[in-house]
Amino acid sequence: MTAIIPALAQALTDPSVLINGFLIGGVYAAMAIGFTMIWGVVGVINLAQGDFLMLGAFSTWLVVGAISHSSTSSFGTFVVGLLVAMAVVGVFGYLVQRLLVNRIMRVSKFLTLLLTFGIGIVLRESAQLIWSATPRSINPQVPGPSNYGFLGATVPAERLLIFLVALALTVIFYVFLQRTRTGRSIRAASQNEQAAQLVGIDIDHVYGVTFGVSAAVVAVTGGLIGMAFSFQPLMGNAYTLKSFVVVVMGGLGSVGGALVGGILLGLIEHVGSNVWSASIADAIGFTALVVFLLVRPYGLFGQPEEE
Amino acid sequence: MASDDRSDAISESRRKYLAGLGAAGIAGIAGCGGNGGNDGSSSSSSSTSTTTGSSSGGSKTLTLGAAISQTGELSKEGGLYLDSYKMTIQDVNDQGGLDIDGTTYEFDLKTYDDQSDPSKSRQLFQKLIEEDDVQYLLGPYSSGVTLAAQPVVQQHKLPMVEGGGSSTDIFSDSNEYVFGTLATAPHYADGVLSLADTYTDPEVQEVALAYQNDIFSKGTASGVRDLCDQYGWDVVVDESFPSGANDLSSILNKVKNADPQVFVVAGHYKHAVLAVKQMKQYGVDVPMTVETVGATTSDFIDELGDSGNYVYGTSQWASNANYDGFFYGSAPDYVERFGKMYDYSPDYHNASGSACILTYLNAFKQAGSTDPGAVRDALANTDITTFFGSVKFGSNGANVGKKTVGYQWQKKKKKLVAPKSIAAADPVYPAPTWSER
Repeated sequence: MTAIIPALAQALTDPSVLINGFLIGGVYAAMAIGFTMIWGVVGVINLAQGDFLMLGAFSTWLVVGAISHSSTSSFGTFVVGLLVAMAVVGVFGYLVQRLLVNRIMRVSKFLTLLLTFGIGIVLRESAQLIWSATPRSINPQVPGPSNYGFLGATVPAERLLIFLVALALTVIFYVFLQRTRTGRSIRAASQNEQAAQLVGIDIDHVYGVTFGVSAAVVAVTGGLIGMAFSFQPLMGNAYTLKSFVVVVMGGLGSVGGALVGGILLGLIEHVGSNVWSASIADAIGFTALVVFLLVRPYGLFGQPEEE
Repeated sequence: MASDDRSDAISESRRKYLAGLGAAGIAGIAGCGGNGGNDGSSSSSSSTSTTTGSSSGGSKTLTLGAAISQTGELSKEGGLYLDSYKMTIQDVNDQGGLDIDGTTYEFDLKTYDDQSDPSKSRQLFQKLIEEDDVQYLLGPYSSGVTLAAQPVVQQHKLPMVEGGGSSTDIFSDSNEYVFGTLATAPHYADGVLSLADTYTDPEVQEVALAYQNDIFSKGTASGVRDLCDQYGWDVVVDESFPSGANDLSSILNKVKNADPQVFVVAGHYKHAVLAVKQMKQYGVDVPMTVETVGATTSDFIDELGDSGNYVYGTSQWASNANYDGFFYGSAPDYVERFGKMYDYSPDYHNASGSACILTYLNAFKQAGSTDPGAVRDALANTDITTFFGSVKFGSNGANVGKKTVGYQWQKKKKKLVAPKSIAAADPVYPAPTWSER
């Protein structure tokens, strides 16, 4: 115990630990935004969310490969890849909700868990059959230097880019929910489904759009993860679980909560990895989940449910 | 695999009847869910009921059986073994099979997909032995999966020749039935780290070590620590990471702060690529980076491009080694043969897989019998040179004749740099910093 306190103090005052934890938190936030919206609005825990992310990574990689004939590409090609992935996976998410989830979500919420779990398995296994389990990555030439020095810490350009895109997605998603007609419909549906129907909102379409937009956002995150780390067909589960932790920390259905929860998880994991070991980073994250569930089960930005 | 299950459940006469009705189509549909068409089921269906000495045309059949990863995290390496098993079995059969006491036998292969899951591997080996009556086993891929399967073959007192598991845990003193063709895990880095001892500018004094927390990688890491002791180097970073880790930055930060001369990553392909990618991102400059597994495949350099240059990889095998080997001849002869069947170059996994079949071939010849006990005893006394190098088992079943080699990527070409006696190029040391590249 006595050895942990100085190690903790050192990690908490090491800019490279804090900055990199903060930045990886941006990735967690971007993948959790869609998860929290589906859960908060449609009332479905999408256990295939991580597999949508995997599809986003593969879609980006396929487009980059088709244009540049290698995994190394110009930055412009990569952006095109991200946009195509966003569109393809977004439409796919919409269809999954309308054609599959929508058919059973009013029967039993429990069945939606099984269904999305099954969809995840189908996506994973199909991806593996098509592309094999080989880990891959996308290597665009990010403009500017390959890393930046900041307060004595090294910040890779890729990681900074992911964070900025995650931040931008969060803001865009927030504005979409607040300012657009569809966004307002989504919020109305999340508050009171029957009242929303009474004022003429097509609930099924709204739910489909929520799924689609969430899938589109997570697809972009997948492409970015493919750039900064690596991706393979079986990557989804780990990211779904992390999304779960982020949403519990941040509060259900809150875009801001996902951002703060993501950054918090990134910091906890990074500090924990430095104090103890990288091999227990996940255990540290899940311990934080248990603590949150005990102390503040509705998360930082959520509201306690009224009986 | 569904096609395998189904074909076994159907009796001989029923199979013949179905064959007339286009059973191949049915099996094909049934196999859609599990790689059925590519897993050896085609050869097993020709082997009738798959026991020692079953009749198939004019010759008898000896069925070798394996559960190996065709899906899941280990499917890449698992597929390499499966390709080699198939090719060498075909080659042995094409050269007339083997003659035992005037009877000609052909090899056949029966496989299942363990889905990279050790517990499934154990069940499938049980199925191979108890339901399919297979009496000669081939190994799965990875130490962890091999360890899970080991008690099954031990319990049934049947031999297994494996080329994919090298943890010392497999080769304990009580092991009598599992024979491994690879050098054991603690010796993986021997060849390449012997070079580090000769480097003077800068002289190696500090080593950082990151290893995956699986049985094999832990074994490799313990061997690296022993070598550091032996050479008088300090281990300044000694960190493990989980197999699912997608981010090694916290370990790399520690490496950067410690500023060692050598950084050893003991993991598998995924982390071999990820470590180099993130070293570049974070500007982690180390004069010598060694990756014990995963850095010698062509995928590695395809994925990383120029960033993969100067990285050292270790291997069980050099594809240009000029052994005068049993059956295939030299390593280049094997490579040439392999190229006629597959559109990729064989790496040591392939070579080790083929060596397993050759080891069995030799053991059957030496035993002069198909009795599994006699074959086991013949395996224990194996002492042959193959295109893969020496195969000679110690009393614990490990291949004591095997030595590892070291490669370095130079201008995106893989150069054999260790041991110096067979090196094809001089190693580059220190590697230029990322900003100089």
